[in-house]
Amino acid sequence: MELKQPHSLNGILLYVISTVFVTYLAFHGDIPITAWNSVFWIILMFGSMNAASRVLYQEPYSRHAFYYQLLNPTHLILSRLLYNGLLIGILSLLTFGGFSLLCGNPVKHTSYFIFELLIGGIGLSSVLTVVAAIASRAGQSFSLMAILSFPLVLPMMLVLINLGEQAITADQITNGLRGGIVLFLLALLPALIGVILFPHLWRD
Amino acid sequence: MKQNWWRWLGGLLILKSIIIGLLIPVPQLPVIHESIRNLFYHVPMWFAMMTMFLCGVINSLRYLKNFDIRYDRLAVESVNTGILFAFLGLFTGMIWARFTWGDFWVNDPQLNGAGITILMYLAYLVLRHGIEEEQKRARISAVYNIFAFVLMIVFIGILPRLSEGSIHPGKDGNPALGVKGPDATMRLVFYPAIVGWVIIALTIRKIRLTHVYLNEKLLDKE
Repeated sequence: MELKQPHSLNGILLYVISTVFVTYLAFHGDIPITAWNSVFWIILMFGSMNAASRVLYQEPYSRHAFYYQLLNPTHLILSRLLYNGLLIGILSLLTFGGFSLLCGNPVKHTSYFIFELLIGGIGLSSVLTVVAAIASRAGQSFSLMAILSFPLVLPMMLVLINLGEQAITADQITNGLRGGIVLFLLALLPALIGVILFPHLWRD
Repeated sequence: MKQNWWRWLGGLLILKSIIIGLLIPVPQLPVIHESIRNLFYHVPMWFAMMTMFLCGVINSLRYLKNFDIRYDRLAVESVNTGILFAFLGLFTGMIWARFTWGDFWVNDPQLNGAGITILMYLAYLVLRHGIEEEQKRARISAVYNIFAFVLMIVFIGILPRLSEGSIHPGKDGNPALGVKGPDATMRLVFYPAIVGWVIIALTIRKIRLTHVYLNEKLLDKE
């Protein structure tokens, strides 16, 4: 469905590329490691917020009515979760690529970092998808989406930034598996609650 | 008056904890010293807050089951009261931190968790303001309330344990009950203080609810 509107996808891509470029210019291409990590995650957070909100809130009311007659709400939210997970996963890889191209790549444990990136992407997308659903039912404004999702995304961002810092600076990954499992659970949980609660949101 | 005896009991318990909390001898711990007495004033606030938020989420669940607008009112007023206590807890904590750590706010997982919680519930109120239609507002905000509450519990439970090096007292195990240091006499004051503040929180919620209903009646008459 979304693929029919390539301009919105391109918009997200352009957003990521231009923010990466702005960061590169702002730091004159020479970024300290902690700043690299935090700026990277902040860009990713806003990028995924854009991506997730686009899916739901650019939807006109008539289309909502159309889906409403056609689809099972559980299927709809599941498909949206999958779609957003994929989208944000790709987005995060692209951001990583662009960032290391322009600003250098200080990451020592690349595979661990990418693993974290993907799971973090799933987590972000599951929180943001549910919040976008809530915001879109509440009268479609991006500011509402931002207000609702910030406090919910923040703790996950803290975990991600901590793990990311470890992947960048540490010589040896300690508790890598444990961090990954925790992150994975954090990613699954919001999706699960979202799937349970979405039918309630759906009724009109 | 008679059926409200337990509300008065709550007031008495708090009064007791305030007065006795200042009088009894306390164990001297490094760094904290006499300020350990803040246990009687600061920690019960969080207990009251958590109780209120729990009430809020239970009522949201009940609303989604029965679609009775009364449960929605209960949920909102629970959250309102909870936010009040969150701010009280924050302020008592900040005053304490000013004297113990030398600053009103330090970068600590415990404090950040509290900040995030407050933001979350303020967002809940903002969300409610954004929706006109009553039933719709109730339903959507109930969904958000449940979602936020579960995530909050998980984050508060997991985050502080992931990041080592919190300087908040009682970091090992449960942040509130596991504080090492309070001896038997302190516990005698501490637990009644918790009960007292929870009762006061319930009372405040009751008063707010009555206020809401009375307002509605007035509007109906006009």
